[in-house]
Amino acid sequence: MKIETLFIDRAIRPCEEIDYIIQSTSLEPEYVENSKVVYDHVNLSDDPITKGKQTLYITENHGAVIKKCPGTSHYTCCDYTILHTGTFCTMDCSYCILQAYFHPPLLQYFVGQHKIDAALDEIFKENKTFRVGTGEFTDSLIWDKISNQPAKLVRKFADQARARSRSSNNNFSILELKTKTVNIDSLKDIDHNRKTVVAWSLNTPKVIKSEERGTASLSARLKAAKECERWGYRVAFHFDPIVIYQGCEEDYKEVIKSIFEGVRVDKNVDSSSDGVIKQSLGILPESIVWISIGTFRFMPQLKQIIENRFPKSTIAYGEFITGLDNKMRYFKPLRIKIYQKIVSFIRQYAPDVLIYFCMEDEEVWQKTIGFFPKKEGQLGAMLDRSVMERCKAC
Amino acid sequence: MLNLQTTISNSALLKKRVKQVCLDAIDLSDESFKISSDNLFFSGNKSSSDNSLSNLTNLSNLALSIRLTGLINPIVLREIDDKYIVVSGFKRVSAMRSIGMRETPASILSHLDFDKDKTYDFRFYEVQSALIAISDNAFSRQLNVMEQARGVRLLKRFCSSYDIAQNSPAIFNVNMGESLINMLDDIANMPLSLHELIESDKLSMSSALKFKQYGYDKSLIESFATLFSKIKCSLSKQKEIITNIHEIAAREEISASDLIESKEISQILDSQSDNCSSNVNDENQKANLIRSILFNRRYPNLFKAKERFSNNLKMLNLNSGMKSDIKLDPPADFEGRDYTITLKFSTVEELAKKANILSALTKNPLFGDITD
Ligand code: SF4
Repeated sequence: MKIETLFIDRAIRPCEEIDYIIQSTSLEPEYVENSKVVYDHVNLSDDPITKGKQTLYITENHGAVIKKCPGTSHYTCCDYTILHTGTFCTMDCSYCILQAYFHPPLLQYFVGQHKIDAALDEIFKENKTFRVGTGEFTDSLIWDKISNQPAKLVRKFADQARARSRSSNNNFSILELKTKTVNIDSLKDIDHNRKTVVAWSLNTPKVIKSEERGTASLSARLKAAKECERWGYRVAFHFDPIVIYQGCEEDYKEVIKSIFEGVRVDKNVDSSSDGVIKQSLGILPESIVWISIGTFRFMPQLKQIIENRFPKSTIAYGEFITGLDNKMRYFKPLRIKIYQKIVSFIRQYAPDVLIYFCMEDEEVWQKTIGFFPKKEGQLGAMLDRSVMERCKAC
Repeated sequence: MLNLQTTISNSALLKKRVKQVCLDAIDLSDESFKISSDNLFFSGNKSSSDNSLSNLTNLSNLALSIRLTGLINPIVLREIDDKYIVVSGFKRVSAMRSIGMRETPASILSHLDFDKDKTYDFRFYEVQSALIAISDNAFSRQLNVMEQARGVRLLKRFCSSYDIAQNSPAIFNVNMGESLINMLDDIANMPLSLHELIESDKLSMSSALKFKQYGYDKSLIESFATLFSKIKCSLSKQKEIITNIHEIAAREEISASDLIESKEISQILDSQSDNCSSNVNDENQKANLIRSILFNRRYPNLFKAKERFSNNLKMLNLNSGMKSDIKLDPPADFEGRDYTITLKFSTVEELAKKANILSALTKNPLFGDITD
């Protein structure tokens, strides 16, 4: 979705970062004394969610820059660290939780690289691995089109690792940029020191077409992942949300095949293609730091938003029950069945790649992977180990 | 949009004169300003045949009252050509006619400037008439949902929801928010068959609003109206039925009408009760049967799991002898892992005996199957 209105918080001093955004959006900014003007602009429109995607507010993050992932009770959490650099998204997925999360839903870019740098320096000092992501409240790479923030973060993480290698501290933290775009150009010539993992949320072409408006096609995402791998980055994949429908197992199998065997790139599905049908190579299992899988789950209030904004979508009409965390989840035997299939498909290609569940319980882990990271922090430690193994400098 | 305050302050422009009117000159078929429900005095639990009976009784009571004490409040009419249409007093006119009265005093509305100035805003006259039609009813008794809806529809032609909400205490004798006004307007614009269901308490307003949320057209709403005219259930069950039909139809890419008219559901709806006096019960039973069919189709795996659990439970024979005081409940929707056993006892000896039964149960392979 195209950004149509640009508001800038008058309290923020003019800087290069803002000039860059103004230039890239080619919009005449409106300076506002307080956020109410912006909130009203969004809230008073007929469709605040769409309006919020078309309205960019450049402001400062008045809260914490770094947050612990809130997780959810009764289900295992991966101990992720959130770097809060912006909110909301220009793409439009029917199931996106951010539609119900922000009041109002609004695209916000937080200026203040110095604040982010200072917060990151604090965690880099700790003798610990942090897996830091910007993709919790927004898509990490939508910003690549209008700011150079993603590239700056990649450099910041690369430098932390160098500083550490000179000290006795062997741990390092990594940045995970999670996306459904193919906005990777600015990552190309960076000396990233392998401390950034570029991650794609993947789904079947059917789900992408019906539920993920404005996102890149599957083949385009995989092509971009291959490109990043070529540039020396480690990559990751998130099968989340897995949507259960008739024939979904075959479709997810095909997606997994495409990851490892490569994809046919043709002009119909990939606008960046030159029109020639090509076969791109698959991703090497050793380039993949982790693959997470999670079936669709949602806060009950999201259902009506989906029904209103995506009347043709049937995504909320699966066999959902109320989970222990009060989110709607597929009936457990159905989750276990699809997980077992997907895990076995992945294992055929990549027996050693770390697969983990986002927010699942002991029974699901046991029946699908055969073990359960029971102790608090155990799943996080597994992911950290994968980081240490796969993200050593090239 | 007209401003209601301006309209109210212009009320002096509205001329009311009381005169004797011939009852035959009143055109009752013009219901433009009709607010009150025909089945005003009905109890919600009555069937439609009960309703028409009750309606007649109440109408004749009103007629008797008029004969005894005369007409206390004159009816309000508008003159159109050489006829009159009713603004307020439909029932009174019917009652008077039923006892053979030929004339009645009536308040006739017209606009003072109407004849003099052709350019005057006719909408004032319409809104003023609507205000009289609503208030005349609302300040003598509490309006039901459909009456409020009809009132809102009359006003919404010329006034904004916000304006109506702001002035609602003075018009409807009750405070109403803007969103309620919009909901009532939505209801008023739905087919008449649905209005009847709402008035007879067979369908709630919030259930009916789901049709609007789903963007259903008139014919689809009519299918639901037929369904709800033959069953009776609580608000939450009505919503469950509508939601499940909508979701099954969307998921299976069929029309909701086809689902409602499917053999399975039609058979239940059209089945006749052996006992005519148990009609309400019968309608409740039909609702439950339909809910079960829909639940099975909407949640086939969960339905099977629940069925399997209850079959296994039967085989464990927990209902016989001392075991009947032991109750086993699965985790909600089988999501968690915790099963619950409830056990009743009154003496220590009894507890010991039941503890032995429990201990034996744990060795029963069936019990293991249940909790696996
Ligand atoms: S890409 Fe992610 S953040 Fe953007 S709309 Fe989709 S789910 Fe939401």
